[in-house]
Amino acid sequence: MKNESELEGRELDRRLESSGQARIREAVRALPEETLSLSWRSDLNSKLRATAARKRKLDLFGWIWKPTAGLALACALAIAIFVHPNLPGAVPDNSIEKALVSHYVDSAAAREAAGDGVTPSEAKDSGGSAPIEWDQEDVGATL
Amino acid sequence: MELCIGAGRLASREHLDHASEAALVDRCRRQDMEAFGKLVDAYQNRVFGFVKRMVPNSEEASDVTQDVFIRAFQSFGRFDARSSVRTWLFRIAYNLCVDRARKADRSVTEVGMSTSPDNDEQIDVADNRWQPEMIAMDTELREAVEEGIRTMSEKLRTVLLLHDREDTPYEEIASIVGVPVGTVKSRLFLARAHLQNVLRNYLQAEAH
Repeated sequence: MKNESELEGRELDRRLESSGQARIREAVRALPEETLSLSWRSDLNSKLRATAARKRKLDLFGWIWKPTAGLALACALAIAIFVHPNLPGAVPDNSIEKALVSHYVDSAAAREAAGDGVTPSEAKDSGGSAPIEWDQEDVGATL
Repeated sequence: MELCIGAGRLASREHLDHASEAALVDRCRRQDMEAFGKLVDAYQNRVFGFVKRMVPNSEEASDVTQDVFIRAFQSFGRFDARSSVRTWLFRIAYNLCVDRARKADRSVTEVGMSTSPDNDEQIDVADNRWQPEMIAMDTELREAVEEGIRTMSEKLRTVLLLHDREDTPYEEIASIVGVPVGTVKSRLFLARAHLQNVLRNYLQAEAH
């Protein structure tokens, strides 16, 4: 198949080189050259100047617009982060986060006062008013 | 920045050597109008000659040729220099011509190829107007050649003009038109065969 197409290619090359085809080539080549007028060129120059001016304007606009847009975006982000009340950094009083923090602080205080294993409510309830009654098992465990 | 008004130098067949073309391309990428003016000087007539035979009239051809250079100027930043500037300009010209034809909804008339490959030697070449060195071609014969080019399909015409008129290599034509090299060769053969038929008829009519 490949050989066939190679053959066809070679045959086509041979035919393209034939004298009849070569004469046509010469006839096409001998056609006179087309020329354009000075006014055509002048018109093209005006259009090119206008295109260049437009391109320069667009480039300038790009130089100004891009940094301005970047700055505006940075400002918007800064405002959103530091001023908006619902973002991290300003937790409302009745929020679940506030309750959790409060609970943790109480637990830490209770642990410091009464040791591990005592909950804040137990620490508050014990209050130190009633004497602790130790049974034998408790005493034995501590020895 | 002023344009180089160089229409006085209309030596369009002048070839830019590789080094000077590369230097011009470099300057054109930086939107140097003077350098671009030199490229226009070098190629305007060749591009116009191609476009004029691809569109119906001279006025449209002038407009399309201007569009070619404006497009080139606008998109020089994207020119990757893998092909020559000439090939690139002809590619732009070809695309613009095809776009125009589509917009105008011109139906491309394919020529019927009655010519068999074996009879391409049958033209009577005794007529001395056929001598290759003949530069000043007989006006009527020239008209016949132009008519033959006009009446062939756009596909054949493109390949014929790029190869036989502009000396563009097969590979570059293939890249401009977007077909394999083998197809380019086939189209060239058919285009020349069509022209042979037209000229044979012309010469026979002349003989009677």
